[in-house]
Amino acid sequence: MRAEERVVDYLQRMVKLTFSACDNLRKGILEDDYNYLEEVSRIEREGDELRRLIGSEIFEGAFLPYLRPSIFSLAEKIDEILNTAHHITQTYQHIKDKKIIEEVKDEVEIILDLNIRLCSILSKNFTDFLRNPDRLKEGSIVIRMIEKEVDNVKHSILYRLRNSKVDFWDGLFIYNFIESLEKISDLVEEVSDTLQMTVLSL
Amino acid sequence: MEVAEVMNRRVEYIDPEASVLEAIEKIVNRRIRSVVVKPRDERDTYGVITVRDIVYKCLSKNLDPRKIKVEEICSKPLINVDKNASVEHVLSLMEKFNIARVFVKEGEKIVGVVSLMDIMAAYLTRRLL
Repeated sequence: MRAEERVVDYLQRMVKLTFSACDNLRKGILEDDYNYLEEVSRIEREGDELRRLIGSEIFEGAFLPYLRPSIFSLAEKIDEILNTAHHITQTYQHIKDKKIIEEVKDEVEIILDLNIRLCSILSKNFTDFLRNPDRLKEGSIVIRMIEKEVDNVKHSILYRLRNSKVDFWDGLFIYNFIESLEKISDLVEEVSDTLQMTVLSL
Repeated sequence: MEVAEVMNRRVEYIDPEASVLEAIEKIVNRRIRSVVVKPRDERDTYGVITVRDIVYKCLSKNLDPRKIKVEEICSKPLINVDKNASVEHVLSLMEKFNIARVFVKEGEKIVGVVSLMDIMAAYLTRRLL
C-alpha cells in the first residue's frame, strides 16, 4: 500500500470512529450508562493514535507538499470531533443534578440522533467524497441543513433551561454539555468544508 | 419511507386564548415555524398557527398582535396523519390542501410535524445513506 493510500485509510478509520463515538454517546447519555461513556474515551484515544500515524506518514513524504497542510488539517478536524465527544462525556459526568437534563431530554435526544446521522453521512461516503466532487457537494448541502437544525434545537434547549434554578457548577457543566453537543455538528460541517478545499486542490 | 423517519419531534403548544404576540414569541424563541393550538374544550379540535397566518391574517392587516387571540386566526382542523403513514401520502395531502406542514399522530397524541423542508432533507439524506 502506498503512503497516500495508508493516509486515506487512516482518515476513513477516524471518520468511522466519529460514528461509533456518537453512537456510544447517545446510549451513554440516554441510558445514563457510564460504560458507553468510557467507550467514547477509548475511541478518542484511538483517534489520537491514528492522527499521529497520519502525521508520521505526511512527515515521511506522503502527498505533494502543497497538499500536506490540508490533509493534516482534515485529520485534526476529525480528531476534534472525537475530542469533543470525549469532552461531552466528562461534562456530563460532572453534572450532579441530572434532573435538569431530564427536562430537556427529548431535545437532547434529537441532537444526539442528528449527530449520529451527520457522522454516518461522512463515514459512508468518505472515499466517495474524495473521488467525486459532485457527490461531496450534495453531501455538504445535507450536512449544512442538518447542522442548522441542530443549532435550532440547541437554542430551544437553552431557552427552556433559562429559568431553571441550579447551582453555579451544575449550570456551567450543563451549558458546556449543550454547547459541546452542538459543536459536533459544527465540526462535521468544517470537515466537509475542508474536504471540499482538499478535493479542489487534488 | 415512513413519516416517523422524517418528522420533526419538536412540537410546541399554545392556549387558544393566548395572544398572537405570545405565539410569535414561542416561534422565535424555539426556532420553529408553527405552534399547535390546544382545543378549547372536549368538542373542539386541535388547530395550528403558522408564520403565514400571523403575517397574512394579523400583521399585514395592521391588527395588534397583543390584542388578537390565537384562536381568531389559527387554521382548523389540523391536517394530520398516523405515525406509520408514508411520505408519499403526506405529500399528496400537502398538494391537496395547499399546505406546507402536516402533523403526525400516535393514537390521539401529536408526536411530530413534517414540513416540505423535512421531506427534502430526508430524500437528500437517503441518497447518501
